[in-house]
Amino acid sequence: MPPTRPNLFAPPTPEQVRRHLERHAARGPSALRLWAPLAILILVVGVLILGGSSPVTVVGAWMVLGIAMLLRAMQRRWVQGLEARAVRAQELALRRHWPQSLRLAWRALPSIVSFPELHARLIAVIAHDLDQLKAYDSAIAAYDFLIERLPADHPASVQFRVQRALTELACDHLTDADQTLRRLRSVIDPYHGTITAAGYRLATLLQQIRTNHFADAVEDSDGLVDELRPLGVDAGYGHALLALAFARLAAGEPPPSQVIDESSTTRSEGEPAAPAQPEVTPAERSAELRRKAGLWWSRATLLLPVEALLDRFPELDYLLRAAPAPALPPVPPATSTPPEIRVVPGTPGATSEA
Amino acid sequence: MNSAANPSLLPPPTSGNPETTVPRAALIPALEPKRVGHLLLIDSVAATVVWVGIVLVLVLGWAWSDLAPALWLAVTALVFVLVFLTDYHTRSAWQQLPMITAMVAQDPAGAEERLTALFRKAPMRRAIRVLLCHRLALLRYRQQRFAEVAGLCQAVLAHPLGQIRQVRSDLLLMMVDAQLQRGELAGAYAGLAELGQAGLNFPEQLQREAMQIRYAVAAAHYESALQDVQRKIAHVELLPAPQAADVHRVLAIAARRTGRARLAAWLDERGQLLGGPSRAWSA
Repeated sequence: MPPTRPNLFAPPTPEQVRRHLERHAARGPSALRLWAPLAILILVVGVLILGGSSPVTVVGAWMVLGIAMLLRAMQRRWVQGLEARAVRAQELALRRHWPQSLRLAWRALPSIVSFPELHARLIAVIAHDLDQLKAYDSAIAAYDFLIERLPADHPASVQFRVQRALTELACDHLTDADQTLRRLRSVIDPYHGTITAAGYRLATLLQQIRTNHFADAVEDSDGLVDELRPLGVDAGYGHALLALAFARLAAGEPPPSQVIDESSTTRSEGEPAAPAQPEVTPAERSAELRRKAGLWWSRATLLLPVEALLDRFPELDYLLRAAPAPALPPVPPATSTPPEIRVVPGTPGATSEA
Repeated sequence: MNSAANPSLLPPPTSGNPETTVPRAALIPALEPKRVGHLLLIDSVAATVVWVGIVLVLVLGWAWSDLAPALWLAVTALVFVLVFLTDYHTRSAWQQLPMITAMVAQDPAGAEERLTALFRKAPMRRAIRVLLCHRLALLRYRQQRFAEVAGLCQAVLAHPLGQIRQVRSDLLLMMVDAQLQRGELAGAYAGLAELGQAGLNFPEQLQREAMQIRYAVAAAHYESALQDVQRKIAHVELLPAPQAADVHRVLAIAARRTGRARLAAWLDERGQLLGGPSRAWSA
């Protein structure tokens, strides 16, 4: 058996990213490409005027036109090839093949500098891939490159700034993330109900968790399901983070008055408001917080497998460690696999009814 | 992918659901498919005349200019006028196209106004006309005027699309979705079969898969809808949340009808998390 080659892939460093992007910055279409058709037309007309109407002149003019059309067709094919490479890089990212997507986008970048829109799309793919590969500083460098070249209120700029905030939080650049989120606060309102606003909401929640403001996270949780919904299954990350906030509060942090207020902390999706409660003991309060933690964790694991949650946010491990505690209800099945469907070992892709 | 081999594409039963529409009083009347055909024909004729004219001017120019200078001048003038008009209209449409694309989502009335003005202009380059038709179909889709979407897409797809073949799959997807929304399963079946032969990229394949599931459930082929459900769900998760939620709900219907109550409950719960409380769905 031939020896297996070790996986030599390592994501580029921030400096490498910066250098690559600067060296291959978008330049727009070249002057030659813009003026070539007009120049050829003038040449043909000139030849016809100066050369008279002899057959040689006409054939010459035709040949020039033919060559021009051939070049045009070749250029179109080349552009289509470039577009196909950009689409392929995006597809690979969508399929979660981050290294392959990054490699393709990285290599394709130098050839598309004269197509600014395509160029920006590829850099966004590079930034996203680096983020997913946990090369956070490199991803931030790529996001910065994009943000610096867009107007501050451009929708794409807002989207990239939200992504950058999430990346900054992921690598514990809390001060930078705080500044990014503060600047976004004034521009995020028009994006209500979009994936951009949902990303911003996830970033603020993650900020509260990373800065140990669990009570604030719980206090702001009203309507979180609706706010995170545009993220699709990735909303599960937000649900899991909120579960962590509830669990942390239950574990001992003195809950503020708002935490005790059931109506403001736990209601979602038409759940009726709880009636005013009489005085509750700390033990009851803790049990209730643990119940809420279990509820949010079950939502999270309904959307995402536990492995994915832990891989992105290792601090969620606390929830699994806290699960055996007597007051915390058992953690629901640690998978987002549909019930009644089990993979049959040894037969890839085959499933059977349980 | 060969659609003929797919059991979810069995010959459909005929059924029909009332179409969901928005009040039409404030909207500009529908662009008839026949008119779309006329406009595309005008553009094609103009392009052909220009090319034939250029050939005549160049090849026969030297002979005509001696024998019939007036005719040579007339052909030259006609070519110039057509080139100028086509270029002027095309440039105008091309400049407005990105704005219209953005407005379809943010300001449908503004998009409607611009599209109406551009559809009055002819001739223009055929590729741009097709792109305008595509944006109009997109606008109608957002307005939930599904009958018009289906008609418009069919009218455009009936013509060769030339350089912008990539729009074809998008138009087909919109058409099939509109037909599924209207409960026109026969049309949806034909569209899905056509999509099976189109070279789709991965996001388009995801869309087609979602539509195949919806079609299968609408046509009561529940078992085929649930076939390889784990892979289907993994793909559905990559779709935008509202679409993913819809497909979850549809799969839940199939699971319930085939007696898989746990799977149905699981899908329903996920559907609710992804798309909010259940809405009426035409399947």
